[in-house]
Amino acid sequence: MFYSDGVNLMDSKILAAALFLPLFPLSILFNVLFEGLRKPLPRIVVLLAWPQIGAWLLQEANSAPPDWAVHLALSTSLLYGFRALVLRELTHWISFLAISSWSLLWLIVGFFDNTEALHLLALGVSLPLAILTLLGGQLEKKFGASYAGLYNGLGHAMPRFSGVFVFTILAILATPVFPGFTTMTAAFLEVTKASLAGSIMLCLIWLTWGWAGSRLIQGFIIGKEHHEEIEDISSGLTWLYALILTGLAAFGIFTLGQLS
Amino acid sequence: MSLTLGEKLKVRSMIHVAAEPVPFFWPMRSFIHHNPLHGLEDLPFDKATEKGSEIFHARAFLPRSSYQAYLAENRVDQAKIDTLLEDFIEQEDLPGTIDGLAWCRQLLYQEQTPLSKSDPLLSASKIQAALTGEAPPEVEVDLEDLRKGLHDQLLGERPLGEAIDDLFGSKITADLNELVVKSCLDFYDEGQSVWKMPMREQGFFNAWKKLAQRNIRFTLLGLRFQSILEADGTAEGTIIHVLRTLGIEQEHWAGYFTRELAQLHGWSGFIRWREQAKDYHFSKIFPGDLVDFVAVRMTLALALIQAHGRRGLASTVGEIEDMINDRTEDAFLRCEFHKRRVLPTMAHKLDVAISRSNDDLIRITFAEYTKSKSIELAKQQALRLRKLARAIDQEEQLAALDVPDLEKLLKVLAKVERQEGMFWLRGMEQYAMQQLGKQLNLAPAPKRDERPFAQALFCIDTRSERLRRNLESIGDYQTFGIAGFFGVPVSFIELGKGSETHLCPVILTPKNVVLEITTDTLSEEQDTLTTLDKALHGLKESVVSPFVTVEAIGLLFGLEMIGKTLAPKGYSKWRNKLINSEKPETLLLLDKLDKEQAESILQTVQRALIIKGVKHELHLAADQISDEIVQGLRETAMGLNDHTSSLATLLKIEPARLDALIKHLREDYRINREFADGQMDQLGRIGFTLDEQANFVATALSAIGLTENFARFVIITGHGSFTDNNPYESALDCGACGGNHGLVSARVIAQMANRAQVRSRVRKMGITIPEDVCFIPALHNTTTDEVKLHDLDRIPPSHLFYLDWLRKGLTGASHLAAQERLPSLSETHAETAIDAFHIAQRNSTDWSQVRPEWGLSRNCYFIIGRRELTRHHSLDGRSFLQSYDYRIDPKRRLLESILTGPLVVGQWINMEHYFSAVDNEQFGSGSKVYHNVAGKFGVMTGNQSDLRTGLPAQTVLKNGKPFHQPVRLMTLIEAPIEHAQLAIEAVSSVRNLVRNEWIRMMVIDPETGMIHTYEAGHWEARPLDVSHSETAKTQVV
Repeated sequence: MFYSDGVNLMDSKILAAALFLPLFPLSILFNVLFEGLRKPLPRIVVLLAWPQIGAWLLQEANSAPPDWAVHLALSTSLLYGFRALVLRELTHWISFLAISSWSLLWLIVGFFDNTEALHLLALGVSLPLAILTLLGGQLEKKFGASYAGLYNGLGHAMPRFSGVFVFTILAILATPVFPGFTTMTAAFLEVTKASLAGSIMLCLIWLTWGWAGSRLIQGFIIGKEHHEEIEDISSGLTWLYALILTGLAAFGIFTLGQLS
Repeated sequence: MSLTLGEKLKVRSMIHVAAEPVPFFWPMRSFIHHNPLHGLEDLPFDKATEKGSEIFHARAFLPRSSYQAYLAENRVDQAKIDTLLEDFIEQEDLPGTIDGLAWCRQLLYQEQTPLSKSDPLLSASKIQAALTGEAPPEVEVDLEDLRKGLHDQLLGERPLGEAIDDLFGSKITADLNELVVKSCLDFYDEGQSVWKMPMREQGFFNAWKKLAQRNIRFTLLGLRFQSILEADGTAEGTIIHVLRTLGIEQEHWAGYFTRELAQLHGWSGFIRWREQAKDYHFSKIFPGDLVDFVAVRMTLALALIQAHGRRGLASTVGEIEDMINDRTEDAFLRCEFHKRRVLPTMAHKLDVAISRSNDDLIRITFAEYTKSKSIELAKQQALRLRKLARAIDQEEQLAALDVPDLEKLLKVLAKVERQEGMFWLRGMEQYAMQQLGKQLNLAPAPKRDERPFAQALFCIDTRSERLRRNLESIGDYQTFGIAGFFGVPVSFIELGKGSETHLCPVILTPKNVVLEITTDTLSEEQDTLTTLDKALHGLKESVVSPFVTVEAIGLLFGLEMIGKTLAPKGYSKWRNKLINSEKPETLLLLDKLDKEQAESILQTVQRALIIKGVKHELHLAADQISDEIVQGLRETAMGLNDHTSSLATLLKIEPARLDALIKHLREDYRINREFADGQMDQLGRIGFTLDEQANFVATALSAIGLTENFARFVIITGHGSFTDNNPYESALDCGACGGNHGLVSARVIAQMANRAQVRSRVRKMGITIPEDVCFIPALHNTTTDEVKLHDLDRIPPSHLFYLDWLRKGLTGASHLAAQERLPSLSETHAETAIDAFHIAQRNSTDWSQVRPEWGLSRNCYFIIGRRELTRHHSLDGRSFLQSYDYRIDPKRRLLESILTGPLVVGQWINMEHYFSAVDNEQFGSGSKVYHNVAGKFGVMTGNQSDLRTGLPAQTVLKNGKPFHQPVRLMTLIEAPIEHAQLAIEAVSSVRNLVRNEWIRMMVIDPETGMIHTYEAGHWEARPLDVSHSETAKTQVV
């Protein structure tokens, strides 16, 4: 058992939190909503706002999440990480990784003393997903769809875009120094105390993320050179993205320090 | 299944024929430039490139944007392309309102990407609707057409694995290639692997099949071989079994083999070469031919396909045919998706539909997809057509076209795009011809009263041109161009090596052997250092030792790394001093041995071996083995006499032990009659008779027109490249010497020409070489442009006074040539010629330098004529220069031999560069940065790939753009037109190359001043100065 018993299993706030830090099967609703949005901007708003509502609800519940929710969070995270392995459409991939990442926030609710930490980590996890949504929007504009494997070889054709793309994916995959890594580490520290199976599941989740991310990079970035000229993003925009990612890394380092 | 001999032979011959389009791949130790489409040279160039592109999945011309860049730089004769386009348009049926030429010009000169699209869903009616803004007509997709298209696309000669990949998104082809490469690496390894594949002496297929059934990796992949290999034990039988199991019809077998072989054309080419190189050491001990290769590939292919089939998916031709016929929509959508032709906006829908395999969903998705895609494609085409029309003021005419007329226009545009590569190529070649025409000088050389200070013979190689020009500019030097083997095909046995190296173009087979000998002996110290060097490298290659040795001697390698990286030139000098002390002075054994001499040599060798044998077997000291014992043992072992009784007494051993010793001598030391006869034959190949030597010397001198007015020094310059950490080093060496350094060939001809007996015979042939003429061999290091004289101990004392002057001249020319080359090679600026030379020297020793020199990149011309023809102009290192004077060759023999050898080699070099530049990934070898040496005979990209043939990107590309301008070799012969034509017609191989336009032939007739060009099947003549005025017409777009 991860947490003490004796909480009301049907606490309405917990249930609402299961929608905003989506747990299966409520996660389906988020998927439908996210995939129904056609433009990047509303998607970004949802990505940034949705987990904040969930984090607020969890804290408002004023009690530790029940065991069933924690178990379900781990299973949801693994399920969506695993399903992301076969996804090639970027919007779906973002949606699945968002659910898989946000689910882990259930595990670390009680880890931090201050209430802002959960909100900050939710933001830290969502920001790279929002950047990827922006990048996906640019691909859709250029090629008609953001679909891995359709026009691979962007590494040659759009080196600046590819650089930003790869670092964003690394940030999503909880690579060290990014906030996702702090979330993952906190989850490990929390889960390892309670259960070996939980730790193994976390390892599997991380593995599936890495695998899904590398497949995505392979599908977009690696491959033969394009013969036709494809316009890359401007160097100004590249610097802006780099600045955001650097800020994200600095933020990750800061939150990592909070773990101690 | 048991095959008759006839059936086996049929399979063998079928594979032999099927492999013809696959070019040979020679081991990298002696890189041979070759035409990747050599097997298609019996076709005209345009047809061959079309076929070659299809077989090798490669591009035969540059992308349009590259040609447009050349046009912008004024390196293309636009007028020529316009003329070709006019001729093209004249033959096409276009609507009257359409200005075909303007459309084609706009398309080729201004549009970067091709317009025409081959897609069954694209129709003229929909494009017309999009053009006029009307609603697209509802046209049902003709399923019968789709079926036919899918049949053509997936079946027939196409390997089944590829078809399955297209239908199901599997990776059978990639997996198959990987497994075949791994199997080839194991078997064909020439000493790189520490753990070697067992049973290799049984042949590739036999050894492989025994291991395959015990290979854990194959088992883990779910590959089952037992039933395949048990069907017939032979390679031929297995191939037939696989083809029948897959359901490939017999009429497609040959084409099927070609496509399977072309999948890994590097390995196929290597095995194909190895198969015919009967004397190749590894081929003799580990036989493995193309039939073995195909058998291994087919077995693996069937196992992979069957593993795929066990998942319930189509795995035979019949099943795929059924799928195409019964589930056409499904098959079509699958191909669209897996071949990445899918409309991006519908990619996800297609993915879902084909993964669910629900018939209703497939039908609905098919209807939606075909409709969306046809409309989208039509819109895109309409947009591009409108843009094109607007640029040439034909928008109204385009809008007014009805569907049949629009179809005609689209067909013409598609056709011109199919042929545009040839248009651009001709335009570039025309420009290059004009440039050459401007530089030709038909005036005879001025008469000289004095002999020149020195004459120098250089290889025809393009890199000699700069050095020759600079040498001529700084002193009284005459230079000549001749193929770098100087007309003497030699099989060379280097000092301390047992194998023969052929020093001549690969199309020749040398009959005579030249042996390098020395009076010195290798020092003990050198032996020790060499052994230490080998031991250190051995430790690196072992499986376990690196873990230990990195701690123990890692620092030593670290120091080497620092030295090589930070101060490559100084470190290399120091290291050479320490490890490789100078090679001892050597002599070449050039004279033919008579029978007595040969027997005497044989006896000496046998005696040495007997002494070694007795010392080893009986543990006797050398001074205990008398001549009598050696003689007795020799005669007894050879069966000449029986000395057993006296030998037993002399050696003080039992008769049984003596018998054992003699047996050892016969079997292990090969002192026997049969081997001795073989050795006598080998000794008979050593050297040349005096007549042969005189003939070679006279022919070489006549061929270049050097028959009188000899200088005191005649420098015979071979060339070679010296680079570090470069598997492609031999690609930079002399092609005329079979991809080896040219010094030995220079020493051979110089040694011959310096002999008084040879000169006296040459005099009888009409060439008088004065006594004071000294032929000096030299080596031109093409990486640094340094020229080093050799065999100086044989220079007469009277000449030594001039030697310093000669050296100064050569050094000055080297520096100037390096200075000329450097700007295109290095970012480093050199203030002076000496600085440039020093940078070139550093490049030569820098192990991190991926481009130590450009080699033969940018080769373009092959000029056969007097030096005066181009002496006063820079050809920028782009021309092969073969000296030739038709006045001393009335019977055209010399010209014919130039065409047969040097020109053919030049064409191979040119085509290698051409195709490596137009498609570096398929015909070239990609970037050197990712290369790894494979099996000690080739390179691969990464840890496993096809053997990379062709030239690396660093040789033909600069900053991703072609540095080598890909044009066919423009050959110019200076001779009367009839003279040249008769010579061309007499050499069938060259005649075909000219007629099929693999080389562009020009003849400059000095007697009429006319230049004749072979163009589209006939000779066109024009006065030389016309080409000058035509150049002025060239305009920049």
